[in-house]
Amino acid sequence: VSTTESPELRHAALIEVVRESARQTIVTMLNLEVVNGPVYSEQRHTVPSSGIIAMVGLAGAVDGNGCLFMGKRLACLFASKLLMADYEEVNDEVMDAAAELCNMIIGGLKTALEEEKGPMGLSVPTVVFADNYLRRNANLGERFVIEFESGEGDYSDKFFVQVCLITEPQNRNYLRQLADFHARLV
Amino acid sequence: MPLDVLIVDDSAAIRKILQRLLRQANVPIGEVYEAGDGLEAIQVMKSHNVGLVLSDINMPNMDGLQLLSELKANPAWKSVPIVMITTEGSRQKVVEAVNLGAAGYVKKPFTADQIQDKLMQLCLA
Repeated sequence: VSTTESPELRHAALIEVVRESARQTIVTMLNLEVVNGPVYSEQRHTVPSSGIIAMVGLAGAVDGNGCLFMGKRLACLFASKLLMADYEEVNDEVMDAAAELCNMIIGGLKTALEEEKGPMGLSVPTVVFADNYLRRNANLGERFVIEFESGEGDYSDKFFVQVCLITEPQNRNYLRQLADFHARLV
Repeated sequence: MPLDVLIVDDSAAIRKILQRLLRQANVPIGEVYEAGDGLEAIQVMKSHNVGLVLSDINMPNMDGLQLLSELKANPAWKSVPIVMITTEGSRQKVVEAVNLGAAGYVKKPFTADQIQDKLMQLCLA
């Protein structure tokens, strides 16, 4: 992911890195096929508002986060394949599997960014299972959502990887000031 | 003589996968212990005769590289092989782990063959 390319090329390279990381994770760890879907700029209704969302933060040379969104049935299938056990309902193990898959997908992006920009860290993942939730990122930096499809047999469903990357120094400073302010409140 | 193994990862999912791969590997495995971070791992090392450690890097409380340093600095554990299994794929992290004395480095996502080949290598060494 080179910063010397034009913004359009850089954006396309980032998307390819996330697609390849997601493909490698799903094919290698779950032995399932993945079909690439379209890429969206992040909008309020781009991603599902029910199901599982796993989130990991990125910090260091680039700040931001990455999220994996999927419905309950696909999350159970992914956990069943990963842990070689049958899951029909979301439980701690299904949520832990979603967290680890998100960690691996965004970890691939982090490794690619580190090659260009320098050391970065990944946060411990957070997983939410809920109905009718709304999630948003601060309106800073580069934000996009990539759609994928996966499944087994007659069943397939979409899942989404959302990435938010903040590289501009003024926005990174703003985030740090905001974090300091909240820390002082606590 | 079966090898007692310690798996160190904050993800219960990864600990479960590695447990399964160890049991399926064509090497004699004895007890398999688990720890959720480096501090827990040191407690396990103190109370059991562990012959191999498989450790993540990014963990709370004490990360995998700190654990590696601690184990290599202790004469009682210095010779225990430690394999890092992690999403950390940067060259810098790999070099750091190898310089600290890691016996191997497997990047997540991993295949069963990658883990089992590494076990075979260590058991034959």
